Amino acid sequence: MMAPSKTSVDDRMNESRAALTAVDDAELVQAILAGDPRAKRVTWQRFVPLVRRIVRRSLGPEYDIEDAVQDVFLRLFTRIHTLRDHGALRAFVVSITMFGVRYEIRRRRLRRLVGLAPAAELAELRVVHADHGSRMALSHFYKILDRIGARERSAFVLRHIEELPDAEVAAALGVSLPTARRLSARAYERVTYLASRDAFLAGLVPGKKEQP
Amino acid sequence: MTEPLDKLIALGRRQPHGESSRRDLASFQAFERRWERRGRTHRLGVALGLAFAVAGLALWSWPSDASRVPLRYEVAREGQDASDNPALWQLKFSDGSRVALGSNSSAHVGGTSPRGARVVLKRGSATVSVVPRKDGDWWFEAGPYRVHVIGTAFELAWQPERQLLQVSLQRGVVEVTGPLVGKGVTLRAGQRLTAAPKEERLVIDSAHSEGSEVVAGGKSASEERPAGRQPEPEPTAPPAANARLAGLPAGATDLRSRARGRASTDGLRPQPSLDFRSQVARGEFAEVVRSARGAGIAQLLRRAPSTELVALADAARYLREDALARRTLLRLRERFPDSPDGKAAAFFLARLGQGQAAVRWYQRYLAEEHDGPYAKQALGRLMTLHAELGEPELATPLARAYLNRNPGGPYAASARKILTAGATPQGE
Repeated sequence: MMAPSKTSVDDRMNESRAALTAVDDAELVQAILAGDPRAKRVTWQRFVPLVRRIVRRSLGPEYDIEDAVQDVFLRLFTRIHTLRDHGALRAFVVSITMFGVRYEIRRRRLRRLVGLAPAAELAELRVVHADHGSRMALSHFYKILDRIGARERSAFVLRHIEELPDAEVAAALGVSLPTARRLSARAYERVTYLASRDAFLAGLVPGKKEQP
Repeated sequence: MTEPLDKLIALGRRQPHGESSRRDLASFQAFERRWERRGRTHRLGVALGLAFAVAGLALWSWPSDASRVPLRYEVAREGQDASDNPALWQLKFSDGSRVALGSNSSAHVGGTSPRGARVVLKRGSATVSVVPRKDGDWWFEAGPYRVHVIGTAFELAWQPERQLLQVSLQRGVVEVTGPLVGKGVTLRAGQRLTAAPKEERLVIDSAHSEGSEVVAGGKSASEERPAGRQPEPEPTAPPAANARLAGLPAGATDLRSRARGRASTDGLRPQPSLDFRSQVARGEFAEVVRSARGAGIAQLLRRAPSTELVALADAARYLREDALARRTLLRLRERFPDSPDGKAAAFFLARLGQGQAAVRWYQRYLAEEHDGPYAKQALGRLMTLHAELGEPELATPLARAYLNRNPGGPYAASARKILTAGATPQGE
């Protein structure tokens, strides 16, 4: 018969997970590669707010994003061995997130093109704003984003909504810096044009740049 | 200088993207299950997986089973009334869910999916019965309010002229979001929520009460009462009074609005605008505890909705403020004993405990929630505790039960050790 341990298993688990939580990204990558059983949870906790924010801002308010968020982490842990610079884990996560977002956008576009009902595109109505107008404006805004290319949309979201620098946008999309700038600028122009022709959004989009 | 899309981009940035700690944990557990399945599939061979993937891509575009097909619905009229009386109109969904409209009511279906639908109540009332399913996703809109349900029966009433909402829950659990309610209030069976943002009034009480509503300011509640009921007198509670002394039935919560610039009418410390759930989702644990202390822990524990108490308990646990966590969880169980949050509190109290105290809480949780979201963990931990406490005769049957339920789970190796060698596990 064993004597009861002074420290419970739970305490040891919490302590060891807390210890891994404190390491930097490079050490966390090493822990993942080493098969540390705590690493997935710690990675999830560290990056899921970033992933959810980007996915939500990319796909809009109409979708349930949790499946897409889980897809990102599945892909992350599957491809983590390809990350050469372990210190660039955050950029790697953003890149994989955008890959997943573009995949999801193309998948939904294909379903619409082949005439399928918008399965699973249930309007998620967690309130964004208390006023009806803002909610409708957001819905129309994302319908406009649905009309531009997936890469342009990604560049637009990362550059203008997420406010990443051009270099990070380029890294996330796997393109050159000039290409990233061109994609986000083209997307911005197109969205401006489409929004100005949307009856609901036209009032929110000045015809030209304005002085305050 | 303003840019053309500044306003739209600002809207995009303000979208909420956080999740409650409980939903985040559920999502992570779903990810873990998918990861385990992925590992097993990979062992079948890459070539075979590739072949399936190619075939799957071709087939994927088509609804392969009923779970991909959105719900269908019809607008039906019940009874023999040949008139156009909308009192008899019903929305009948293909999964068996029903929405029956009250007289002079107006609603439409905004969209459907395989897991639910969005129904917009433009005015009047609707009696809703949603067939429960694990991944149900139903949304009901009334003006600026949203009611999210998974499987339940409730009544929803909306007066657009007065911006008055009432939700009476008969069965299940719903989450309501909107003005005054903020990021969400969870209602359980038997509760009724009344929200009137123009009057800055928000009350949650029993769905079967006589309508003893406390008015924080503005109009009295008499206009909403059915004919024949007398209005309650304006309460004059002493400063230390709580909701019970103010005349609300036991269990009712008077959640005052933010009421900018308006002094509290009963001398209590003004109710803070709580958003602990979102803060915890963002990892702002210290801020949550700091805000809670600033608002008054005792008052919060008496009046805050269960979702906020869950978030406070989580924040306290993450910060190793065990005393605060324990106190919050105990109050959660006391105020919401039949709710999923109240039952789950037993699991977290076990985690905070040691030795026999932890054993008792795990046992209580498993007795209340045998198939609950933490049941497998509770079983594994209880098994481990008994082994560590030198009680192999209690650990052994639990090890068998654990392996039956979760043969690939994190405690499976320990369970096998207990069964084969009878040794205390080394720990996970």
